[in-house]
Amino acid sequence: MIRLENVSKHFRKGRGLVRALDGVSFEVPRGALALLHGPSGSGKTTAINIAAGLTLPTAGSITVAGQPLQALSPRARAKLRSRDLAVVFQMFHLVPYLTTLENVLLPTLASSGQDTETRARKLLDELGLSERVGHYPSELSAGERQRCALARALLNRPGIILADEPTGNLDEDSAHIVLDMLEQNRREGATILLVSHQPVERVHPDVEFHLKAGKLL
Amino acid sequence: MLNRLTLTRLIVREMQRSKVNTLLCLIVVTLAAGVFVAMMDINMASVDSTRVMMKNMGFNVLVTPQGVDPARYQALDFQDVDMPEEYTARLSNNALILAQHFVGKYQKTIDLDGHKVVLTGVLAEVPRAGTEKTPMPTAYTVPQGQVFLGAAAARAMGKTAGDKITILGRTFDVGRVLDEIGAMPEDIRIYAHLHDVQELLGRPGRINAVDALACQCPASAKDIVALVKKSINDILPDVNVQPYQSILLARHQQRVLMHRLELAALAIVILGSASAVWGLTSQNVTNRRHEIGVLRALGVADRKIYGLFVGKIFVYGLLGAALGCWLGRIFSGWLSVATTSPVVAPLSVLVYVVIVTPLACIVFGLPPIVSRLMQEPGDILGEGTT
Repeated sequence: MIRLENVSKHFRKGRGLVRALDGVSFEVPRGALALLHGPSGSGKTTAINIAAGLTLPTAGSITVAGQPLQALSPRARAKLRSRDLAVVFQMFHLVPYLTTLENVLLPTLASSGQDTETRARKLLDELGLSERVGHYPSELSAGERQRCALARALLNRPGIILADEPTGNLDEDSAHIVLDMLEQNRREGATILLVSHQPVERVHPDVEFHLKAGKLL
Repeated sequence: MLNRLTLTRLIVREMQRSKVNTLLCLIVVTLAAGVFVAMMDINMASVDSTRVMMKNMGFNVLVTPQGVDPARYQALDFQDVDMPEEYTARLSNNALILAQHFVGKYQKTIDLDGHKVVLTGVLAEVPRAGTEKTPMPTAYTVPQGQVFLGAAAARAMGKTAGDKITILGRTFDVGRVLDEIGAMPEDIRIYAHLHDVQELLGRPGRINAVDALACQCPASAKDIVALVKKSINDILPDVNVQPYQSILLARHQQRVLMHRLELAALAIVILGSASAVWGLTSQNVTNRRHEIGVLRALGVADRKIYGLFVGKIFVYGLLGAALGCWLGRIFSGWLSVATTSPVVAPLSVLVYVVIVTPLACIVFGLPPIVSRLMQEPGDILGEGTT
């Protein structure tokens, strides 16, 4: 479950004050797929970062997997992310000097597991990247990079998946593969918050939220 | 089976990828460590060369009994004042004294077959307690029953090695004729065993001078002449101490100069390499900011992320130190050609360089890492785009 209550995030940019989020409240029930959409600059990425504990809100409270994030230390938030939560970024953020397989195994730096390579290879196979395990990010297409990033996010079987415009830079086929994989995880019980600036036809969200200029409509 | 990524694997892979950054870091550290070792070598070479030169110039401190008139002494009138022979041992046995290489002697100007010579009785040179010194080139160990003749005295008397010579009624074998020095009274000396001379002059157990070589004065010492005098008079209050200032000061000033040059060079090396390591680490951390953000988003502990960067710095710090030591050794080999004895920085210096260099690199490289890790991961991953 993800719950934001009256969350605001303001920061200074130059001389002005940017209200990235302004009193936003919403809840994504456990096992649900929520779609958060809105135009560019509406505060979607900020909402994802706050929900992931990557940044703290200026005001309001946030509860993820039953834990109030503001009350947790940075170390405890990191532990929560390594155990229960995964983030998929629009810009992929793959580590350029690691191969596809190594990138997928990156979460093992935070938490160990058994047969993780087998799991990583299986995920890459399901995402159509079995032929690309030894390739570096610079040798992959945008769609392949996003699928690699998705495999990395799913390696530890997270209970919560936060996906920030995961199909924003992809062609239609690649977008379908990514969205199908998210759907599959929803069916397996994951809670998913999917952010998009455009309608997503392939998924059937349980709840939808619309952000505009940092406010929920 | 690759079930777990390790920091070591990431460090090695990153170094393989960012070759230019790694190579520049390695070059900077190698040069810094190399220059440090080279400076040690230069200092050693300089000190060693000066030491040998000074040694060849002879003793630079003269200890005489109280009451001796220095002016008459210089005119080879040694006066009939003497002191106990054991004074030499008392000086050499004191580890705090700022001198070394002691030779006790009894000397008297005599007329020999119409020639004025300086009869000089000497014992073997005694090094300062706890040291092993090679004897001074101007110190002689003369066997009893023999004499060594100064070049001018031998020429005047027409003597060569193997001849007999009678001095004050006793006959001696001429063991050696010494090389011409070109300075008085050295070339008109007749060296004999101290006990032979004491017997000839009827002064057993007595000497009238101790030659010594000063000093190991601290580089910061202001008045080293006074310092040397005091260190000897503290042990023997009833003697005159006459340092030959020009020789003494030349050696001291050379030591001070080298010490200051070394400090200045080290300051430049440390500041230069610190700036370079800082800059290169800063560049590396900035280039990898998204990697830092992703690792934190994945829940990787900060200490491991620090380890990723610090580990890299440690690797090139250690490699650079080892390469620097190797370069320094090559340099010292080249330098040794111009010095009297081989100049090699001692092993302790190399160990010091290998231990301190990686630690110094970590200290210099840490600020940019800390600064980047203090940022919220959301900021790093581009929160401002909303």
